[in-house]
Amino acid sequence: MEEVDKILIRSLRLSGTDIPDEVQSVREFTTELIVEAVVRCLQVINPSVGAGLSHILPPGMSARFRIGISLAQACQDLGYQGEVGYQTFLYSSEPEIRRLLLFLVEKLPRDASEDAAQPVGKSTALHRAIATTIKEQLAVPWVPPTCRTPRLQLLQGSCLLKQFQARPLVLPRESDPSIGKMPPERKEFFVQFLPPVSAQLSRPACFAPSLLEQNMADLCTDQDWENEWKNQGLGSRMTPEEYRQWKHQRLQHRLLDQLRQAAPQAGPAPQGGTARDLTQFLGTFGAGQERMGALDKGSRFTHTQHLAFKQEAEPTAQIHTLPVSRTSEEELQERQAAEVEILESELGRLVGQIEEIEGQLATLGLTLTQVEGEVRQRQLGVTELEQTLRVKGRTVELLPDAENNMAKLQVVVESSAQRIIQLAAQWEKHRVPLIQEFRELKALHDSKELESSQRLLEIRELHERIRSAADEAKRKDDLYKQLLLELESLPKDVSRSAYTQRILEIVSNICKQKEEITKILSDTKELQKEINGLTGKLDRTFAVTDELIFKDAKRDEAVRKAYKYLAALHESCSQLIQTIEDTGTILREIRDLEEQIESETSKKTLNNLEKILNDYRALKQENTALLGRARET
Amino acid sequence: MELSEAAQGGLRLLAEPGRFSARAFAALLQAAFRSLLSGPAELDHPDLEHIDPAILKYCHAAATTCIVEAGKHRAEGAAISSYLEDCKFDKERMEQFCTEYQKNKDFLEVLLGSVGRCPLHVTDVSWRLEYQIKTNQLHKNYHPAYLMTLNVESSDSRSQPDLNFSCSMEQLQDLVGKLKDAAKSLERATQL
Amino acid sequence: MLLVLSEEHKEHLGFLTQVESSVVSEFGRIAMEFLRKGTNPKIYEGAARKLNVSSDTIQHGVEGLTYLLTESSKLMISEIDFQDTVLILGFSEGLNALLLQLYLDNRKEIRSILSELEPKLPSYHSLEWRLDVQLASRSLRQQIKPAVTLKLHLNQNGSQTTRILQTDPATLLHLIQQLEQALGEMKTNHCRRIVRNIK
Repeated sequence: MEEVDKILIRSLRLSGTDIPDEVQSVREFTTELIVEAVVRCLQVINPSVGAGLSHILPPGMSARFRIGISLAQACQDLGYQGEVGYQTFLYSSEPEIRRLLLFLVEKLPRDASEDAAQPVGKSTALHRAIATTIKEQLAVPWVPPTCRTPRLQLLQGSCLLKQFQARPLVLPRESDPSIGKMPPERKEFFVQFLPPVSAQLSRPACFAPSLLEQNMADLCTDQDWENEWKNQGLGSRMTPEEYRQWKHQRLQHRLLDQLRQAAPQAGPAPQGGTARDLTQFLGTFGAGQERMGALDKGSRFTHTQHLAFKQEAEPTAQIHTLPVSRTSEEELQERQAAEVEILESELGRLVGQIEEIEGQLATLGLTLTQVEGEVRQRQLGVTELEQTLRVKGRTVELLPDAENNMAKLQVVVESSAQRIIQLAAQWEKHRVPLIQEFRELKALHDSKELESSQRLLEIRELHERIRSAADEAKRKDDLYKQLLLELESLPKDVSRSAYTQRILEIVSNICKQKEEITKILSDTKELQKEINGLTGKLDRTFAVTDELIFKDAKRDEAVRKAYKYLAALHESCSQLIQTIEDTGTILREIRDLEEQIESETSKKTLNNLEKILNDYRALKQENTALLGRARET
Repeated sequence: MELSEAAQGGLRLLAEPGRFSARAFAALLQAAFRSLLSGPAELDHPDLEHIDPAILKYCHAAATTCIVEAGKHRAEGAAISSYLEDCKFDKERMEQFCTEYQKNKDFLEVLLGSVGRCPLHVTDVSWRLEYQIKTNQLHKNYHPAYLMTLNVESSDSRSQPDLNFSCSMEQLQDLVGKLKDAAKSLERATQL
Repeated sequence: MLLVLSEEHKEHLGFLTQVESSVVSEFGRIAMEFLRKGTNPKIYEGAARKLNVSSDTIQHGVEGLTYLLTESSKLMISEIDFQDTVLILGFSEGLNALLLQLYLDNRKEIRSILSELEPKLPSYHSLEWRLDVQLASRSLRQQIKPAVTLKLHLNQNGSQTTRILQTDPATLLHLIQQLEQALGEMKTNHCRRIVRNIK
């Protein structure tokens, strides 16, 4: 029973019952402890039932009685087969309570006690983390705002909070795949003028957000590029650089087309001007593109640089236009105005002239083209006439010897026909192998194409596999970490092995006991057999003796006496045996009774009876008190 | 934790013993942490003089990015080491980086935690109890009243004016009751 | 304490002696109505036509009655003092009793109406709260930062305004402690003595 009690007490402790250390067995359980243990178990098994029960025994007798009844009801609802009532809890007997507690412990959810050791879900872990954080923060004393450390300021205030403001940063990259080699000017700028990233911002508070943002933006570009390369770049069968250049060019072409389409509609300016503007614009666009690539997204610095150059350029231009004379400002202005006027008038004149001349030029050009067309037509007509003239001349030459000439011509015609056929045959001879070769080459090309596309597919698959493997590796890494954490958090509990060991011990004990019992049984059987044999022998001996003596008894008086004695002896002996047997049964009965007494005393009947009497008295008292109060009111 | 190609390139350069001697590495690491936690720092340490300034600036940017990202993800020493190992860091530099990071982790957390915004934050309360006796409209009007000032703090640098309001005793009881409810719910949240 | 009535006031009230007591009680009802909802001159004209006097007279009568009631309520004069005050007007016994009844019936309401006129600061109306936990931000993942968000409703110049505030657990406990002290202050001997003695 000791082992059982120990296991029982441990389970009850796990379910939340506060069992004092000195209590070692169920026998030592007080009524309060029993009620608490049962309520705690019920709460764990079925929270909705347990919620309505208090684990503290109330002082009032009637309330105790009610708790007992509801507990008994709850136990029966759970399917407890044995007899249970309020008396089970209030006037407990050891075996009954043990049976009930065993039943309840069996019913405890298996994982309830192991819950702490089970791998916890993410949300529970989060809840726990939140709970501990709140607990910590509740324990932190409030500190006046002026005396706070930065950490406390963050916890108990918000004046340290700054908004997430990011500014672009310039990274002095050695080389960038998107632009290729770095020009020496930029290198010089990086080496001599670019401040380190931390000094590039006017507000130090922006530094960390800017770094984060920069990293995130770069990551996104990297990923975009990778995606594009895998989906389209690989299919184009170019190296990454070539692909980039191709894409760049294509983009520029597209833009050019777009601008060309848009330009005639937008600008009424003369055509030549548009074309020039366009090329200029495209040139600047190309340069801008280059710069954009170099200095990530046109940072402030490029702007300032740009501005600085412009500002520098403007004054120099002014200096060039101004005459290098040192006159007073007014004079200068006057002269400037006069000059401007003159120049403007001249400009107007020149523009007028230009327009006039352009008009003339246009008309002249028009007539020129007309005349040229006419000339070409005339020339065509001339060559045609010449052709007809030659044919006619020839015919006239041949006319005198018509017959002969006809035959000759016939021969010539035939021979040329022959030659044509010959040539055709020859051509055919050449053509066949060529076609053959062409077909072969084509087949070869096709197979190569097929092979390359297969390779491409393989490469793509490989990429996919690489990515999935990387994902897998990451996932497994995470899992490993989580498992490691769980392993650390697992309680170093050896109770399981201890239990099994103990169970094994118990089993071996039982085996030993069984052996002993069988041994005793066989001993008993042997004894019984011996007894039987002896009785048989005795009977037989007696019968023989009886016969012998009876035979002689008729003749001899002394023998008759002896026979009588024998009979008496036999009777006394059998009586003796009877008595011994009786003693045995009585002894057994006595033992039985003693056992019964033992079990009865273990039920603490006397104690309980006394308790019941006391409780009865208390109940009576309560009732009278209540009655009195009722009467009062 | 993920870093862009650019930052990874910088870290790889930083890992090369030929480019950065052990002392130069230590100096740059210090400078990176300093520039994050105590404002702009110049890269003018004598140990860094002989290194190409462009590379120096590039690596400095990469190191600070790495530190900030690690802080953002609250990376542990092991995670950082494995990441740096991928960038060809040797054991010594890895350890150096990690110890420096652990040393400054708290400051880094405060730095990154203080980026954001929130509603006005109540930091303190002052109160005044007054007993009203009469107004020009009503005489013999005896009742207590409280004047409250909630001291608030805002993320704006412009200081927000404190919040003033009056309340009667019953209203104050209501207010305290509701605040106590809130505190109780906090308590309950700790018992999960 | 007696209410001292000006001559003009007495003259205005004098009109009440010329009409029946039912009219006086009607005047009382109108006076109360006006205190509650503001004046309405049309009623004067209607009454003037009915009683065959000028509407000014009616207005003076009602206003005089209103003034009498508000002044006595403002000063919270006792029953006897009110009777003595009215006695000076030389009204009949029945009329005096009627006015007294009118005063006693409406004193409480008038005082509450008057109490609304006092100068006021923004006053507390109610509070709502919510427990928030910040779990991550753009610059710091995996953080746990509990905060209690408060929505404070205030009454200001007759309209309600709301303020959104936030506080942390430690400050919340501090606030509760401070405010409980404030509440406890009313129960100290010092405050009790003041409340007892200033009556």
